[in-house]
Amino acid sequence: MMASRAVVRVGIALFLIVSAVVIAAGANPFSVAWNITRTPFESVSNFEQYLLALTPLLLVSCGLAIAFRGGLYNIGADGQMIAGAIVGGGVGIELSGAPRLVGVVAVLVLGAVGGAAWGALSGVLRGRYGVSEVLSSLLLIFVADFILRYLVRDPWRDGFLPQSARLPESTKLPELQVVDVHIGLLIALAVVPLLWLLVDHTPFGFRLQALGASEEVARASGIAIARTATVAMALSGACAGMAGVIQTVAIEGRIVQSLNSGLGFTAIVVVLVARMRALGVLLASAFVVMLTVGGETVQRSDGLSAFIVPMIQAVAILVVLVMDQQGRS
Amino acid sequence: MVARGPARKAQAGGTRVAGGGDRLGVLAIGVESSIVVTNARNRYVGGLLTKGSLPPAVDMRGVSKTFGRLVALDGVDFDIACGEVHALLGENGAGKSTLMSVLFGLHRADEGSIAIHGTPAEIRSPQDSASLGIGMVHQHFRLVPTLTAAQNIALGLSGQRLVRPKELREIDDRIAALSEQFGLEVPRGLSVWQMSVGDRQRLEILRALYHEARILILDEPTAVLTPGEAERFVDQMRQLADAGRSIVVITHHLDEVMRGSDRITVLRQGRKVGEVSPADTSVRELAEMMVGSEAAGRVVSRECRSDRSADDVIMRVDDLRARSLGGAVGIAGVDFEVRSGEVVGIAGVEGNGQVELEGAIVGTVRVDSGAVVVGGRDVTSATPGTRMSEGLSVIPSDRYRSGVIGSWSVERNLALLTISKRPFARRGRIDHREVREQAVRLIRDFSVKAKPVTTVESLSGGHAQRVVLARCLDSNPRLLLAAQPTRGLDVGAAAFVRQALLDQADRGVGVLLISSDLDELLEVSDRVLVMYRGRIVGAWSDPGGSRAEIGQAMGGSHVAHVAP
Repeated sequence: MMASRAVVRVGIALFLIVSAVVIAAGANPFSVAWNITRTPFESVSNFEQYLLALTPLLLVSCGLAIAFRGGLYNIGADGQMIAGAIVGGGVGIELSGAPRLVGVVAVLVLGAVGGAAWGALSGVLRGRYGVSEVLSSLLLIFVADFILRYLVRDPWRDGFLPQSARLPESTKLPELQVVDVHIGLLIALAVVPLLWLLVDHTPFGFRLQALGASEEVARASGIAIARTATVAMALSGACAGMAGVIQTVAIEGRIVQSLNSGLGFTAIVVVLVARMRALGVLLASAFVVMLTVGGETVQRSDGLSAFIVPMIQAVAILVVLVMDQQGRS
Repeated sequence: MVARGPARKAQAGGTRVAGGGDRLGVLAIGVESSIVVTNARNRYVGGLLTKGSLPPAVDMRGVSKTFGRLVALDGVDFDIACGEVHALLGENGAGKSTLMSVLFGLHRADEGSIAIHGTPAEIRSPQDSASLGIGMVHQHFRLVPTLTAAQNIALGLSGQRLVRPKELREIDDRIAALSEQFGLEVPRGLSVWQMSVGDRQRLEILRALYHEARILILDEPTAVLTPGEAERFVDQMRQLADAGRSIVVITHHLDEVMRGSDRITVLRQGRKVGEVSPADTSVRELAEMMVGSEAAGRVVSRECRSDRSADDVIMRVDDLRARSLGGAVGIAGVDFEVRSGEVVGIAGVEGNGQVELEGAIVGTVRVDSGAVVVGGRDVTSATPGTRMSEGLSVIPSDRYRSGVIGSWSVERNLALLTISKRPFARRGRIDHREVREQAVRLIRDFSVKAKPVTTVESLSGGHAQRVVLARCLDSNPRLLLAAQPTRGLDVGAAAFVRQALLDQADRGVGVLLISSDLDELLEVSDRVLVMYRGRIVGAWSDPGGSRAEIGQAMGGSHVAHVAP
């Protein structure tokens, strides 16, 4: 009780500090909070922007939630996104003659495969050789990033800028009819219940959770540690890889060298706030993306510096974490 | 115990030690004749006087404690006279540990009072009890795995201050001296994680001795000691008591209680059911008081043992060698066979290779050479899962580390081995209703005091072990490895486990029992092998009649090697 009260006090203190900074920067904190909240719903195009930004974060977060439930701290989702973009996009470039259905499915599947392979690498290292997946997945980000840079600067380069040629029409993701958003959103939304099913309702999910709760007990119970870790990391990477290829195909339209966006780290926050639960991941992603999208608005509407906005976002997330802790104790 | 303020006031009652010393009990070091303890008005309250002429060292009156709806203690009176060994008996979950946790300051009683040496005391924390001269040796070790013996003891001493290397060496020297004095050897050069369970227990005891507490709470101190060491320990307990220290000992060893204590208090289901002196009671009477009269007749049945005619070898171990997991020895060439329908007991003082043998059979320890053959298949380098599919089932020696997931519910722990099989998994999905039904059935069959959704960490040791046992036996093993299966269990629970092992053997299962409890081994084994320094040094097929020889072999005295 005492502890939770202290936690609330910390939360309030943090919130007051941010308000003070916002006031010092010459803006009204209530107005800032309101503007952030309403931005996504202000216009159809804002809402579309919001959904487009939500798609990759939701996918990556779902992937991380799988790994985290197994005690596998995959912090290299950015590397797996890049791997997905390279494999899916690299093949996609060659698919100009294919029917669109084939092109789209091929690109998405190959993106997932690329990410899965990159994730599985960390899984094998952890499961078979005991190498920390935290280190290996983090370091593999750089490996993936340099491979990508090499590819778009040399063999795949098209034109003056370090980027590939445009991806053919046959790989363009279909748009939803209701809003001007590609089907990646549906895929991301579909992964949420799949995550719940997989982790809480399948034997694999049970073994995964056993691994996460106690590797020792899992091993002594005959659970194949290496296989479970590898599959979990592969699934985790597959989600990230698909997010990577979706961004490449639907947003950039070509393979660019600036894929290493730090989205994987934002997703870590999402998963922790969500306590690795599927519905929580959906809500937390929605919240974090709202902060990002709304943050851009308040730079204009409230004249806030671009540097203060990320700070507000960080504190807002801290407040959520603090309140979550309170709910737990 | 380093004071952070001058003449640190010990307690609300105002107890402090004469001579301006702020380290209670330190006055007692070495110079037994100078123990003089006074209260605030310099009145003599304790020391080397004859028993009975003083207020009791500890006087607990009407102590009650509930955890949620569970009544752990219900108006318990308990006192310890100065210089007395007072044994506290009871089944797991009877409230012994809770009562002692109240005295030690880990729990606060809902009702009741405590007086220490006649002065009312409010014990809010272990620091409070330490400053009152109360020391506790816990059943579950409270040691930092990455630190050495001296560093662990320094942790308790230094408060917020850094310990200098010189002080550390002094501490180490004193540990050596204490080790010598009490015959409690610990590998002082190793970190705790490299020590065997026995070493850790000895270090815990040494730590309490180091602090020179005048009131010692010993929770199952002899559980991991050899019979000889345990016997010696009982004598040491007496010596400590004769030197003016007051001791309460929680134990399940009734013979130790009869031999080593001045008084015995028995708890059952949170209530005190009796207080007797060993001269006026018998082992049988004590057992009856503990388990209640209805369960007292429960003795392990041996009726069907002669019927075991099946003779096929279910497991063979050939010249197995494995490196030590931190103790002195690993396994250095072990051969034996387990046939279906027999119980093979591995006797030995802990730390003689049993942990490594267990790991090598389960598949969690890498073997250097030799072979493990289960059900005709060489599984030396197979995963634990493969071995289980050959019919191996394991009751692990460290039940909390590799047996159960404490934060998980009973039903999930029970489902660990079966979850991937039908009917628990159908078309890739878990049938949660089947999982629940299995849990309800096993909880009933094994009398686990829990609901399917209760977390295992909230169960007492005996009931957590029932969960392990239930899971293990329900998988229909052909070979059952039971490693220290009754450690820390009370008489009733231990008998339950032993009976279960015998029942399995009667059904044709090969049982390998690794235990440091010789009585247990003699009770249930068809053959007993003794492990010493990583080798099998002897085998007996009439264990009952060879008690003395087996005991000798466990202690390392050479006996004629009998082929296993």
